[in-house]
Amino acid sequence: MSHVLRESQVSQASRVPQAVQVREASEAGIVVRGLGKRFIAAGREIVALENIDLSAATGEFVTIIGPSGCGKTTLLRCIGGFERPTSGTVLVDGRVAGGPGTDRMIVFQSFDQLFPWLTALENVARALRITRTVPGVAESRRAACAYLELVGLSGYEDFFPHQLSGGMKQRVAIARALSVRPRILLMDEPFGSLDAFTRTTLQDELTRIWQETSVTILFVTHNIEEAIILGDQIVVLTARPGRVAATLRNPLPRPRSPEAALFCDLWQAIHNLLGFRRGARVGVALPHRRVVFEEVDVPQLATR
Amino acid sequence: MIRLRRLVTANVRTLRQALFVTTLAGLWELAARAGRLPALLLPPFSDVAVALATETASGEILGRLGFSLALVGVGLGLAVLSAVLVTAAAMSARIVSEWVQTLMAILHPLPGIAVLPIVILWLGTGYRSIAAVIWFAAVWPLVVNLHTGLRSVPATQIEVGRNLGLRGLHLVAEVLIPGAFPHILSGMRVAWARAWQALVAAEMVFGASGGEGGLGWFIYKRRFFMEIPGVFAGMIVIVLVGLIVERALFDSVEARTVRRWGMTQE
Amino acid sequence: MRRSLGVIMCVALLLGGLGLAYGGGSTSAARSPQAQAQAQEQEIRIAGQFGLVYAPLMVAQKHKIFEKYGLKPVWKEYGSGAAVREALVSGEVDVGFMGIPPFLIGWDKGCPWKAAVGFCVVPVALVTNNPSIKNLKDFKPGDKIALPSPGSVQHILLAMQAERELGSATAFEKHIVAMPHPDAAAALISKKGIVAHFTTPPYIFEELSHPGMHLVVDDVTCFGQPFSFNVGVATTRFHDGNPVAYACFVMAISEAMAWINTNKKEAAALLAPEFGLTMEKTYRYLTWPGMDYTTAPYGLMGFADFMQKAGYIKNVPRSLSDIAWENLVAFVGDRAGEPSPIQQLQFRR
Repeated sequence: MSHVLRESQVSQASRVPQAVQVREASEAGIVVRGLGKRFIAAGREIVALENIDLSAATGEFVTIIGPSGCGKTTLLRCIGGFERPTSGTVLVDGRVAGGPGTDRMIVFQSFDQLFPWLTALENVARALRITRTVPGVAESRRAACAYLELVGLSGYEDFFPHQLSGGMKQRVAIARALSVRPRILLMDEPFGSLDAFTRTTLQDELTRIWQETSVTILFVTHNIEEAIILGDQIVVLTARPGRVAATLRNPLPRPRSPEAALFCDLWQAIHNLLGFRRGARVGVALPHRRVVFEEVDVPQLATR
Repeated sequence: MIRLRRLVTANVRTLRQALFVTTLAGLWELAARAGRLPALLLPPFSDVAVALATETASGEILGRLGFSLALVGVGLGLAVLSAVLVTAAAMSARIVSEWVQTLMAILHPLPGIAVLPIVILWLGTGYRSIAAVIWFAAVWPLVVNLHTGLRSVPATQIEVGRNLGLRGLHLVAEVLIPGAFPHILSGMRVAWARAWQALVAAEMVFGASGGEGGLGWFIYKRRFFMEIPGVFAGMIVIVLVGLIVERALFDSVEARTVRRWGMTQE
Repeated sequence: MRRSLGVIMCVALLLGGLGLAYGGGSTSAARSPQAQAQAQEQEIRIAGQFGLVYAPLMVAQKHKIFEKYGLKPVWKEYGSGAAVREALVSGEVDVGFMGIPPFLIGWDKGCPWKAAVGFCVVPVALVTNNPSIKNLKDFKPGDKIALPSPGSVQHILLAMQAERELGSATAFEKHIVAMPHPDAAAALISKKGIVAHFTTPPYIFEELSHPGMHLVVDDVTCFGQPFSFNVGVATTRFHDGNPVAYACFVMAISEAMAWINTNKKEAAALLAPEFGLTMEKTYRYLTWPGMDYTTAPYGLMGFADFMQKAGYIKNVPRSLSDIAWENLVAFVGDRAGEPSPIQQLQFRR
């Protein structure tokens, strides 16, 4: 049944070259290929993103980092289906992704992403009802409870969003996004508006949740430390237009601590990358030692 | 515990207000009884109370009140319906939205009662005209608030809805309407107040029809027979109904929804 | 500290308001004869309404007749008898013109005033746009009858006829719609909402000139004989406080009326622009059968009797002197034995 559905959707994706489609169809996870986005603002054409390639295997945690205004959010919105890329393709499990759907759930930065007229529990349960993920009202509430427990909010089920702290709201948003069982979780600087302490806590929590659910996560941030602590891969974007400067494999074992020497090096490397144009050497020359980080081999990088 | 304290605080306030109103009534009585002002201009409060009691006992006030409320109900109902349609049209196309906004800017400041002469010309006298005036008084605040309400729903929430697969009317019902509810409620408040005022004004200006009149007609008739205590009694009923709807209906709905949800703009 | 200041200010404001109300009362009460006598010209504030009925007032205004008697008139125009009555009650005017029923309602409620002059006898009639209505019994429950206001002459006439035909004065309470004459005339002619209009000249003439309109009942049928459609009312304060000005007022009105009655053509020419009518039409209206500008009072007691019986007022005057100033009482007289014809005119027949 679901197999038939999948095939019909594939056949609709006529713009994708047949060869690519066949090759990627077996791949689980997400692949972004040659994605570009231009738009007209104040009569001028702005190139927001150019030729973005990235991929995340199922269960992988990928962080995307870039300076402000580099189009990180636009990239995530293109993947989420809220914006139509000018060029390129987004494949989820080998299928071309179109408009918004529950296979790609976004967790936004904004605290007002929860529905204020619903309690924490109802916010999750309502999402379950709308998407018909779980049959029945009672079932939905039970499942919602479980997800709130997963994000550490047991006991806050009946709180309205305005009674929750910023960090708690983001936890509910994560629970809600996870509850509908997406193929991939798109997180748009979800901890960007939190204080440093809460942020650290939530990073640890998110790592735990990710490990427990083994969901694929694409996580946008402008914080180098956060990118390193969370990501298996770190996609570094350049500013205007946003291009992939490098995609680094994170060698640090979890749990990661900023005190580790390697952490500092990686930090420095990313920092340098953010200041350089694409094509610069991926590495850092420090007075006492020289470290080179392994780049991820993203298939079919446009110019290499 | 907090709830209990709140209850006590609220009651103390009510008590204070009641005391103040009683004092005012007492002053009124004194001023009227002092005899310097003719009773025709200011009847003693006790006379007004007696008139209120007699008119209530005779069923006159309740009958008139029922008629008035039914009319407001019809007028407001139609206003809500048309406000929904107009807003839907406005949301569907930018140009329609501009038209609606222009129309709103022109017609919103016009008091409902000001259109009465034209309404009488078109619809004649009787309850239809009054309902039309109420409709006109109420529809613009509703449109304004519905419009701004829908626009004030955070884009993020709409995107969450779309992310969950909501489209069209489902998105409206699940996200837009609840999100716009604070505005919708305040629109209803304003619409009710304006409708109530328009009703009374319309009945007084064109005198409705005897058997079918509401509270406005009640006052109008008492004025022409110089039953000044009756005029005051009618006014008191109008004020009371306004207060009851405001407090018992809107305040409690607000407490159960907008305040509970923390969606007030305070 | 700040809070108590606020409270004090509020109380002060309240007391101030009360004081103002008292003050207002006492200043008007202090309009003593001496104070007024000191004034070179004696001011008289006159409340009228608009329409053919008020022609004598317009003539007096145009010919400066009040000025001739040393009065300085201040003319005020109101939309209904009730509004004129309210102006008199509030002390805004000294004399006013209104129908007998509004006057009696005020008298019943204790308004300090009496009738000073009769003003006019004019045809009043119930006109319908429904050919099947021949008398009051033909009105159906939903049929609306327009009249200027509750408690107006027209309302009481309708009640009189209702009592006569249906045995109940209040039979048509649910049919009446209060509308100004021009609106009602337009509604009647266009058949919008109302089926009948109890009205006065020139609206009667206008309405009857349209096809399909006819007269259901006229004033004389309702009342039994002619009556004053309007009377001039003077407040006790004015009458007692300023007897000379009162006498001058009566004379000025008399002179204006006499002039109309003897110079109808000239009156028509004078007033035509005021009404926005041609001279010919104005003349036709002024001389319509039944139009009679006269200071003689007709029907004062008849209205009082009926209105008291029908429950519109509680008190009934024991004699004419309860509701009319001495000049009218003297005018009507008090014949020993059988009442004189002019006495009989005060009652219904």
